This record gives sequence, structure tokens and C-alpha cells, in this order.
Amino acid sequence: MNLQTCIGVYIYPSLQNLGYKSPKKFLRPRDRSFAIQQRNLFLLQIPSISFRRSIVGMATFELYRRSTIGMCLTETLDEMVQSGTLSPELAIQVLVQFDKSMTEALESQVKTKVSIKGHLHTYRFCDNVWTFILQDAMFKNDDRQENVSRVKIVACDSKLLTQ
Amino acid sequence: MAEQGLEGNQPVDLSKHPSGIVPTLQNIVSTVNLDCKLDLKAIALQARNAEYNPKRFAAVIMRIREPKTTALIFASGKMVCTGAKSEHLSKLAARKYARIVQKLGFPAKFKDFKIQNIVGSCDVKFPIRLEGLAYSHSAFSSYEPELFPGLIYRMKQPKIVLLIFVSGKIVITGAKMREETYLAFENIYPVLTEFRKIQQ
Repeated sequence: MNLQTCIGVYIYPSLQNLGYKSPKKFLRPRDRSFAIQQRNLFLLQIPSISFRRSIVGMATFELYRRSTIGMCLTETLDEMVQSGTLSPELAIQVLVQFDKSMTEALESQVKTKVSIKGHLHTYRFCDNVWTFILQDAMFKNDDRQENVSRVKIVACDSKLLTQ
Repeated sequence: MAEQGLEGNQPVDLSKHPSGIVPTLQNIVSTVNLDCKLDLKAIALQARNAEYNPKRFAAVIMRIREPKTTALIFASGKMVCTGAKSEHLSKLAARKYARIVQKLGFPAKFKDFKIQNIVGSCDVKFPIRLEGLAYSHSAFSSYEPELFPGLIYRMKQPKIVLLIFVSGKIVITGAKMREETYLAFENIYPVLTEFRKIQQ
């Protein structure tokens, strides 16, 4: 299976200020406290995942907006919209381009492989999204490894984008 | 409920199991009607360890760890529970699934629970001449080694199917009561000894 996964560091969301439509995408309080409790842990927190067809016609996942880089971009766009240097429409367009670029970059430029092994506490498959919650997971790549007490993995099938 | 293996520590009741071998139950399939329409997507989103891919299969596949089982939950409210090792564990598991569905806000009941199939297995610990058995019991046997290495024995009384392998390992399926499994094995055991393969 060709699964694209995203692993990001948790950052407080601020997209709402941008007038971004779906409030569901933001963390519920429970998720938030969970993230704070486990400060230096890698977390994937995408309560819902949606598709977006951009102007060019290629669909993208909004999966990577919650990564560190995605959150930084969002915050910056947010500020620019607030100060009036950028129209909200353009800001959204930038985010859509970000979705596309992230997908492309991960597909073509990232060659590192990481293995994640742990106790599967929960799994879910719904709406073509796999969610896994692992306990005592071991992240391993060529030169280092790290133990993480709790991990949430959200994975989508990138094949769905090309259909 | 007693869950002894075939070489269990407890002495075998020879009046019930003259062969001295008690088939081990491996899988119980049961069904139950929760008697309410279910929103499968809501269940898949809220419950843990659930899969729902309506394009492939029109049911939520849910698993629990104790008793280690899998349930197929349909939108009609009907549910199939598989994987339990005994009748009462199957019922316990089905109850747990019903409880999960109930906790998600559906008015689930627990109607018409029924054991649909019991699969048992055992090892007679001697090799068997399947060709000979198939020949003399041709009315009940189907042995096509090119298709499947085991002999399929369709017993009429009780109506049970047995898979008999050269190694002496036996699978007994199709029972709704464990007694049928035991009876089928006791029926076939003398036949197996008759077609015991004598090794050089």
C-alpha cells in the first residue's frame, strides 16, 4: 500500500483567525491537554482530513498544515491578513499551494526511511484514513532511535489524490 | 467453562470420549440482532479498533482483545461475532460489542443470540491412508490431493464436515453444539485407526 504519512510537532492552531471555514479541524480540549502533558513528543493531530481540488485540478491533502512548517506558514499568513498586507483569498491559495508542494516534496525528495514499532493500542479505518495509536513506540532510522510513550499516526492513501 | 487442551491435565471422561481424545474448540461463530438501525460511519469514527470501508464491505469490522474476537456489525443492527474459543466466550464477546454500540448512543438490544458454527481440531498422532479411506467411504469422502491435501468427509449423522490430513490432524466443522463435534470425532476415530498408515 502506498501510504503517505505525516509526522509533525504539535503547535497551537491559529488558522481560525484567518476565517478558515472548518472549525472541526482544530483540536478539541482533550487533545490539547494530551499534547501538553507529553511535551517533547512527536504527535500527529489531524482530527479530520479533507481533500481539496486546487485551481490546477490536482487534489491535495490538508494533512501537512498541522506540521511545524505548516503551522508557521499559517501563522505568518494569519498575521499578514490581520495587517492587511494580504487578502484572505490569497492566503488560502498559498495554503493550497503548500499542500501541493508538501505532497510533491515528500514524494520526490525525501528518501529517509523510518521504522516505527510499538504496541498498537487503537486502530481505525474510516473515510480512507488510517489512524493508529501506538504505545511505547520505537522510532528508528539509519543512525538513531528514540522511544516515544504515545504516538498517533494518521495515514492517507496518496493514490486517492490522482484518481 | 473448562478449556482443556487435547492433552489436558484433567483426565478424559472415557464414557463421553471413548477415543481418549477431546477435540479442542478453535473458533465459534455466533450471530445476534441488536434490533436497531445503526449508523456505521458514526460507529467507525467513535469506536476504537474499527474498520469501515463501504466500498469493500458493508459492515464495520471491530475487534476486542478480551475475549480475542472480531465482530462484523451491519447497518441493519445484525452482528456476527467470530474468533471466540468457546460458546460462552462468544456470547460474552457479543455482549461486549453490543455494549460498545449501546455506549455510542444506539438503543441496542441483544436478541436471538445463536451459535452458528463451531470449529474444533485434534491430532490422532498417527498417519492416515487417505486414498484407502476415500475409496471405502466414497459416499462421504472427497479427496483431491491436486486441489487440497486433506480429505473432506461429509458425515451425515451428525451432519458435520471433517477435514482429515495425512499427518493425523483433524478439523471438525459445521457443528452448532459442541456435542456434535465430539460425536463426529468419536464416529470417525475407528475409521481412522482402520486406515492407519503403517510406516516402514
